[in-house]
Amino acid sequence: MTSPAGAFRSAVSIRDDVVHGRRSAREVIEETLARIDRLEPRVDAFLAVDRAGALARAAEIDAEVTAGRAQGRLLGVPVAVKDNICVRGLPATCASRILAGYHPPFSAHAVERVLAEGGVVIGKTNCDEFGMGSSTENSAYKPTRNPHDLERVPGGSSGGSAAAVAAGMVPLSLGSDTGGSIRQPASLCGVIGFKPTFGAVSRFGLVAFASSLDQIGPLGASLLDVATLASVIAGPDARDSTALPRPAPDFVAALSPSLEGVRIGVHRDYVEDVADAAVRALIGRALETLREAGARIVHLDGVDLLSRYAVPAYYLVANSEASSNLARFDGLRYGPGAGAPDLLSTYTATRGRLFGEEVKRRILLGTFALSSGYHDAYYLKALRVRRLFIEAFQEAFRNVDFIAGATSPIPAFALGEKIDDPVTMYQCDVLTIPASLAGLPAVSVPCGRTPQGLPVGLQIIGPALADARVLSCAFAFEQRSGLMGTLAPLAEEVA
Amino acid sequence: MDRTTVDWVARLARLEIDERTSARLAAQLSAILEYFRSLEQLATAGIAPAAHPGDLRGSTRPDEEAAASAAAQLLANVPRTRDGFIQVPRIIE
Repeated sequence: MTSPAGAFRSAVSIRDDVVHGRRSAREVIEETLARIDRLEPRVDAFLAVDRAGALARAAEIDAEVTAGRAQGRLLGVPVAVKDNICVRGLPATCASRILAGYHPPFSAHAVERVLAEGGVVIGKTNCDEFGMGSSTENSAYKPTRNPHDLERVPGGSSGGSAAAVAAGMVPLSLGSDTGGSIRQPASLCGVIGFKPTFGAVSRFGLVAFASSLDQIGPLGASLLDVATLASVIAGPDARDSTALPRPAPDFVAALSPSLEGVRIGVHRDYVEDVADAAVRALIGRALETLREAGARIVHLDGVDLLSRYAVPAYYLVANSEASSNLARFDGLRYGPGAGAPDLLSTYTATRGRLFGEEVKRRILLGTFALSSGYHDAYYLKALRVRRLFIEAFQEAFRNVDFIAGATSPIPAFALGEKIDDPVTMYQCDVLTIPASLAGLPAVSVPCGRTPQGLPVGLQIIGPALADARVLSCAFAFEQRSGLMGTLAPLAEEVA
Repeated sequence: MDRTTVDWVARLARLEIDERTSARLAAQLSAILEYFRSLEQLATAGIAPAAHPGDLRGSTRPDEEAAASAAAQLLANVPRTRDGFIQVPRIIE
C-alpha cells in the first residue's frame, strides 16, 4: 500500500489516533481550523465554518475518550457538508439568496449518521445554487476556486466539498449528485467522489432539486475513507419513501485489491470519443492499469449507450422535477421574503429577485416542459428515453461487471469560460448523467494529471446495488495507481 | 421560445422577470430547446415512461405517534409571524 507523505491525513488514521488517545479530538479540530484559516482565503470552499460548534464537539469526544467510552467509525474526524444538506444549528442556504438566514431545525439523515459515529461537522461548503451547475459559479455568494489552479473552476455542483478535500482542509466531505455533482467536481479536483445507487442513502434533509435523481454521497482522498463514510451514511430511513428498505452491506469489509476475473466494459463514448486528448490518454493508461490488476477488458461497441441523448433527456427530467420542488420557495415560510402588498406579487417578487439566473432558467424550462400542450412532447418523451438508458445499461451489464471510462470529457476550465453559454455548460455532464438517469452506483477516482497539471478522474459505473463492488474496483485501481492521498500542490504548502 | 411564451411560462412559475431578462432568456431557452430536439430522432412508441430509475413500489410504515419538529423552531425561519401564525397579505377584502 502506498503511504502518502505531506499534508494528507486520512480519516481512518485520525480516527485511530483519537480512539487510542494518541491525539485529542481538540488537537485534530484546531489543526483543521488552522488549515482552513490559511487556505480558505485562496480557495473559498466554505459558506460557513462552525468554529465554536466543532471545538465544543471535540471537547465532548475527548471527555468520552478519557472516560473509556469512546467509539465510532468517524471518531474525531472533521467532515465538511454541502450547503444543500441540513445540519441542525447551522445555516442551509443552498448557495441561494432565497434561503439566506435559514436555519433548519433538524439534521439530514446522513448527517445524523455521521454524528452518531463520532464525526465532527466543520462547516458548510459552497455549491451551485440548489445544485444547479457544473462549476460552482452559480453560487449566489462567491465562486470556489480549484486548488490545483486557482484561476479554474472546481467543477460542480459540489465544488466546495471537492475543493475542501483537494486542499487538505478536511479528509472527507458530503456532497449531492443529481447528474454528476459529486463525480464531476471530484474529477476536476483530483479527489474521489462516489454516487451510490439511487435510494442507498436517505434523502431526508437534502433540499430537493430533482427527487428521482438526487443522491447524497461521500468525497475523500482515499478509497478506504470514502468507503467508510459511504458505509456510515447508507441504509434504510422511514423518512424517505425511496430509501432502500434493506441495511447496506459493509463497504469497507468488501474492499479487495484484486481484480482477478473481473470484466470491465469499455465503450467509445467514455474513451475514444472523449473531447480532450490529455483526458483520453490518461483514461487509456488507467484502463491498462485495470488490466494489469487482473481485469479483463471487454469492448462494448455493439451496445448503444445513447450518451448523445443524455443531456437533453436529463435536463428535461431534472428541470421538470425542479420546477415543482422549488415551488415551495414562496417568500412566506423561509428566507427574506419580498413583503409585497398581495399574495401573488409576494410570490413573484420574492422568486424573481432572490433566485439566480440559472435557477430561473431551469424553473422556466421545467414549467414549460410540464405545461399543457407540451407535456407529452417534452416531459413524457424524456421519461421514455430514460427507460431506454436503463435498458441499455442492463444489456451492457449482461456481459460485464463494470463500465469504466472518463468522468468528465474535459479537465477543469477557466472561471468565467462557460458561464454565459448554458448549452456548453450542460455538456460537462454528458458522461455522468447516464448513470444518474438509470440510478446506478458510480465513482470517480483520480487517474493522473494532464501536462498542465490538471487532475483527471476515471469513472467506474456498476449495476444497481453493486455499490460495494464498485468501491472495491476503485480501491484496486487506487492501490495500483499510487495516487492515494494525493492532494493539490497548494495543500502541501501548509503541510 | 419567443418573449410571449417566456412571459406566459414565467407567470405559471410565479417568477417576476423584467423585459431585458425576458429577452435574454427567450434566446437562451430557444437554443436549449433546439438542442433538445435531438430526442425526436429516438423512436419511443410503446416505451413506458420511467419516472424513477428503479421500479419503486409505494413504501408504507406503521402509523405511529412520534415527536415532530417544534413549532417554535419552524416559525423562527418565517419572515413574518403574528401570535404563532405565519402572516400573509390579506386575501379576502
